[in-house]
Amino acid sequence: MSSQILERVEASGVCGIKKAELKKIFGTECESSLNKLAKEEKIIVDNKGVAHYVWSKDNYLSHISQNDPKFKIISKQVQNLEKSLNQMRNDLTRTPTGTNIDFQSNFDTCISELSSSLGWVPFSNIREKLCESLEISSEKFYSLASSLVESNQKYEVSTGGQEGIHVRGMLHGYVRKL
Amino acid sequence: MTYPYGLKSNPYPSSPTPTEHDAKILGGTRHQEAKAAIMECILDLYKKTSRRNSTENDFRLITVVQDVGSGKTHLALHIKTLKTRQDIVTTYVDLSTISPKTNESIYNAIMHGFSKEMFSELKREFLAQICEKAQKGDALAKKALGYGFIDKLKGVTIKQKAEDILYDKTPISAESLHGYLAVNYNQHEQVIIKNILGNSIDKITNLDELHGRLAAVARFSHNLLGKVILFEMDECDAQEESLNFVKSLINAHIPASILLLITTPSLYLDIQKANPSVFDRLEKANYKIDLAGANSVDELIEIALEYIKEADKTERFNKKEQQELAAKIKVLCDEFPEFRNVRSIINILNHAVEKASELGAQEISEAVIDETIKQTYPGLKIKGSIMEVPISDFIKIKRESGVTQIQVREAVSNLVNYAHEIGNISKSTKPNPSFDVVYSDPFGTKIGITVVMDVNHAKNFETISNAVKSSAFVDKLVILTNTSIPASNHATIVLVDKSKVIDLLYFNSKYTEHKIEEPESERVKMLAKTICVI
Repeated sequence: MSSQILERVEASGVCGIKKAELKKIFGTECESSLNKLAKEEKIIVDNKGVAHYVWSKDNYLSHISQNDPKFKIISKQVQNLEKSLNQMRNDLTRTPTGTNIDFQSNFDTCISELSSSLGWVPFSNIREKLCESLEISSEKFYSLASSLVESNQKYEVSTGGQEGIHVRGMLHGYVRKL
Repeated sequence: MTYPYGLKSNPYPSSPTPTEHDAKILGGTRHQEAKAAIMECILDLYKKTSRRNSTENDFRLITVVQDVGSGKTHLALHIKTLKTRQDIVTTYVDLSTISPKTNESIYNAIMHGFSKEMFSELKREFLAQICEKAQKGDALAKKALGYGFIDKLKGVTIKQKAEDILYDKTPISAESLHGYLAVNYNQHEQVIIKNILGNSIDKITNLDELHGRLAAVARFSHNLLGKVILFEMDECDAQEESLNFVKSLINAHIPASILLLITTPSLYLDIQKANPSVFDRLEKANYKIDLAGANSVDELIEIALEYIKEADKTERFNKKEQQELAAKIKVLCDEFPEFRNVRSIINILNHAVEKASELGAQEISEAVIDETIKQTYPGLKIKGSIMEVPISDFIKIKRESGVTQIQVREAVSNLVNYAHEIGNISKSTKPNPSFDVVYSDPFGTKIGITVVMDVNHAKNFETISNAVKSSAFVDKLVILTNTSIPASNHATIVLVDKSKVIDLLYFNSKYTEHKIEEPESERVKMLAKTICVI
């Protein structure tokens, strides 16, 4: 019986259905099923005017967001909050991508400008130049350089030097583009 | 003991640095190209000097500059082991093993770096010359061989006397030899012949002696054996002594010889700072061998396969098996920067072959690699994996995951099923064609998930813009995609990177096989949270 009642309640949509009408359809013994469904939070029983009405959970949310001014305000505020959260999340994911593109092109330019005859450039020289032009910290530079070199087989790094990135526990202080 | 691919022994060396024995096999296009360049240099010099006396113009300089572990030493030793070649003799010197680096210690290392065969051949040639002169009546030559009246009476021939010296039955008398050499050779040549015939090396006291003696060896090698000399100097550093020696050797222009200097980019740039004069000479080398891309994945795969190909006498290691092993190595190199160099990949394969043999595996399977890594690199984990995917499963999934959209869709659907089963959410039983999955969160919010993971990103843009139009049907729309797109006010965009795909596919296989156990349950929840499913 519970599933039949639930189906009937869902079918009644945002307007809900009078509890009395349900009793007419399913008989007075449906009271226990209604209580059970309400306990499981599958249906909501609330007053509309002077009568008791029954809604499915989704439909009840729609009903009160249309008719209850207090809920309307709270719902709008929650929606705004959700939007700001989404925006923040997207900003967070978008910012590094943008920086990466700038960083990579600047990084490549530095390599071609500073490279020796074999193409090798000390990371420290690139770091000095890029930290100044991109206004980024040393830590940020090495974090971006490290992920760029690791994800891209166009770059080759070599051990040695005073500063650089760590691969296999060894300091790699030189880089070049293949 | 049986080894995978029907091999009779483990083809991979286990030494941390190459030995002459290991260096017999040289794989990899870039290494082969470097070898070809060195060979071209040798052949060119050999041709130029083969029908005339060598001069100071017959000197060549080759530099090999690349990072540690890229195979430079292996290449140098490989050249040295080319016994079949008739045109070179090679001496290999590791400058890092010489301390203090004096002219004398370097000279000794160079002389010890030549093969015994070369000295034996020269000894034979010298004795043949002395013997010939003695037979023609040259008194000094007879004296040098210690051939006297008594020998004649006994019936001992000059040739026999020469052979006794050659086979070390009779030592040659330095005093007797001196007269013969003084007439026929210059001072440095005399010392070298005396040393070769007496199986010894005389000390040098100055730079002039060092160059003079090396020039003498080169001249004898060229004139008597018809070979040019290759001086291989490994681990060339920026120390003053090393650079002074290198500079003097380049300036000396030892005839019919090639100086091959091996160093790293770091040391090469140190040399630039420490001694611009030497750096300038190195920059003007006849051949500058770069070995660029020596640690690229393609090169590593070629090198790794070459060992099995060389050892595979039965041709059991066919194209299919080569491709399969190559794919496994590729996954290892892509995921673990630790293995992205020749030494490391050879080392792991050495262990893997042993492990395969121990497990009775016919090939280096994912399970074998997993076991090997657990044993040899116990701390190694897949980066960014929430599910802590075992390396064997990771390799398998990476190799097999081609078109992932359908697989990811199924995995997400099952992830929602799982969240529903453990009571975190309520999955809608009615399928909604606008979304891949619809569920309600504990607060009653209706959430629709759409997976857009096509390889064609332009197509993904279009699919996502269509999916966003359906956002009105749910309270919240989550789009899981591999395409980086701008934020939308109508949907939550979740970027699913490679590690998340692997995690999802791993979860899916576990879920469908009903193998999710308690400790994994928490990891599944975490995975679901990271892609906004709960």
